[in-house]
Amino acid sequence: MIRRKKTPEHWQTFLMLLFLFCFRLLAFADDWHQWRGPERDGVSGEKGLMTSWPERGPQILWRIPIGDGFSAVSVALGNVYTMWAEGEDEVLFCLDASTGIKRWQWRVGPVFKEDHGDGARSAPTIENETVYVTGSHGHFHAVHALNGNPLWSHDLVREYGTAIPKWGYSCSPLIEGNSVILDVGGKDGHAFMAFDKNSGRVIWKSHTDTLAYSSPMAFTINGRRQIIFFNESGLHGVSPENGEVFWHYEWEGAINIATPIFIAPDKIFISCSYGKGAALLQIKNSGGRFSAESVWTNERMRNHFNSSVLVDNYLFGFDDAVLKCIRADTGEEKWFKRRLGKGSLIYADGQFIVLSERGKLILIEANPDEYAETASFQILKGRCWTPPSFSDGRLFLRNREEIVCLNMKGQRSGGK
Amino acid sequence: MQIKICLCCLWLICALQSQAQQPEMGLEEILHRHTQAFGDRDTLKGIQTMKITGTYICGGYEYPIVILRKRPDLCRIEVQRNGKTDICVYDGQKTWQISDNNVKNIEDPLYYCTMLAFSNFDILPNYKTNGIAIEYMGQEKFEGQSAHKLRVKFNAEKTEQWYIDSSTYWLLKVEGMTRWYSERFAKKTILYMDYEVVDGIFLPHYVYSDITTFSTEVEVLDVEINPDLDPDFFKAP
Repeated sequence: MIRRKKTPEHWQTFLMLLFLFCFRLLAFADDWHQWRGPERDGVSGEKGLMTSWPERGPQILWRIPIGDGFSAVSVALGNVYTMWAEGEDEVLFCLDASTGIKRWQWRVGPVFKEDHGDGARSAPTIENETVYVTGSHGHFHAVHALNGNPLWSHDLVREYGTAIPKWGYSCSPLIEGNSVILDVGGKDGHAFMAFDKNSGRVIWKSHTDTLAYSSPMAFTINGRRQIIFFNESGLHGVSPENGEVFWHYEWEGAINIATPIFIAPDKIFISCSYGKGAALLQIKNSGGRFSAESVWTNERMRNHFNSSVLVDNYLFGFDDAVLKCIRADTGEEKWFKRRLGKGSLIYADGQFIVLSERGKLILIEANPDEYAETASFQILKGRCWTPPSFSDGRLFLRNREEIVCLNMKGQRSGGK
Repeated sequence: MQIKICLCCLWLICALQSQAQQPEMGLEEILHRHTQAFGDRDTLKGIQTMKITGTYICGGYEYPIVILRKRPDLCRIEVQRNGKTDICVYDGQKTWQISDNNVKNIEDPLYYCTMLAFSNFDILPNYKTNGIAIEYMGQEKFEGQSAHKLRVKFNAEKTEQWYIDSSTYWLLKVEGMTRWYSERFAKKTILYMDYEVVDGIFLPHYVYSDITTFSTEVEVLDVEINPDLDPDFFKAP
């Protein structure tokens, strides 16, 4: 009797847990949960992306007006997370990824005002059920991803003496193990910091240096895990355990914004605009002493604010306002394409999804031998400086006025 | 088949030989061909005024632009931004910028030279009368094309490199230095593309300009040759 009564409930519980488990697995497989996607490299592992679309472009799933800002869209738990300006505030918004309907919002800090555009610059990072977010004035928060309840906060300027750079604090949080890591640029040994991701407690702090606009990365270089910071003085390799600076490569005289790219097993590509150029560095380990040496430097790939993407041995990216492909090992230019402005791109399923500076969405083959465009469509207008985000077959694009979600699944053939 | 291959090889050898035997081209010949490429000297002389209407593209935004040119050396550029019109005028000697009703006289000799290049219809053919010194620097590759490189010296402070396409003889690129944020000097690159014929002369319909990291584009939509232009357009406000 008892057994008969209990059995259906057990099954229900089991099925629900199974469903939740599978849902979470799927969600993690497809999530674009941080700056530049799953590995912070602009690459999606998803397959089944359409290779062309009708003349009117891909299906628009939803489109909503938003406030000013350049914060990239992060996608997790069936939600979209991004920031925009609302009145005098910078606000983190959580939207339903399927419909664009607002679930909750959280005030990050006062709005950052600047000639190029107001509002937030960084992208939210989501792990488990927590969103980590930084505002342009250096307010750093952890909030519950499902309801927006605050968990903990830091004010980087007040607590660590961060000097906010001219165009605003732009560092997107990096999760590494139990830490959430930021380029803080604070005073007296508070340049690089790791916080406990659950409590917000400071785990370590190190170095004294000036902020730039790039976000930290975590690479395993020749078997040694390292946190990579690209700040005003150049590139740094830092211990994830205690913040010890293993090595430094001086790269001054420019404004470092683009994200460094790892080329396994031991090389890092860096690039910036302002006439500086790009470099491929080799990180050497001699008896536990690390050093960075230049393999090549040139002016053929000057990433301004959007980063390149590595596919095989080729880097695809914007050399200021010219889309280019260069060889990663030599820096040799393979091809270029003008008239896309200072656009951005991500890679998925053998193709690049390119958003031009003026809002033209373009599909190109990941072909190092020639620029091969397979489809294009005018989707946004105005200044489009925020790179696309791609999750579960849905493409998320934004400018300073609206956010749009497109269905990129399906049709593997058909005319432009 | 073998005969065809032999003929092809023969043709290739002859072509290479004739290219090798071509005499080194002098500056005057390059400038002559450059002038011919735009139309010819008489056609150019017949142009007294020009009105260029287009789109100025900067930072992802598009703004209507009108460029008025009039002999000798007069130029006026109007850009409409957010309901306002920014104006830049060169009267043949000085340059003014008018923005938000603020008038700024630009004394910078580098700016003067930029405006001169914009306002003078035949700056290269008449370089001597324009007080410009030009030196031929030989051929260079530019984006897969062979180009004649000229060192164009406007004055003691301003020298630029001009690249003339060695097959079409159109101007491809200008490189030089310009002021950036009033004090610093920065590298400037201007590219001229999409040449189209208008009333017998070839004009670039797309101009890309890059100063350090600040890039702008002008897409030409319409060119009017010899419209009536009020001389007051080019006077100091």
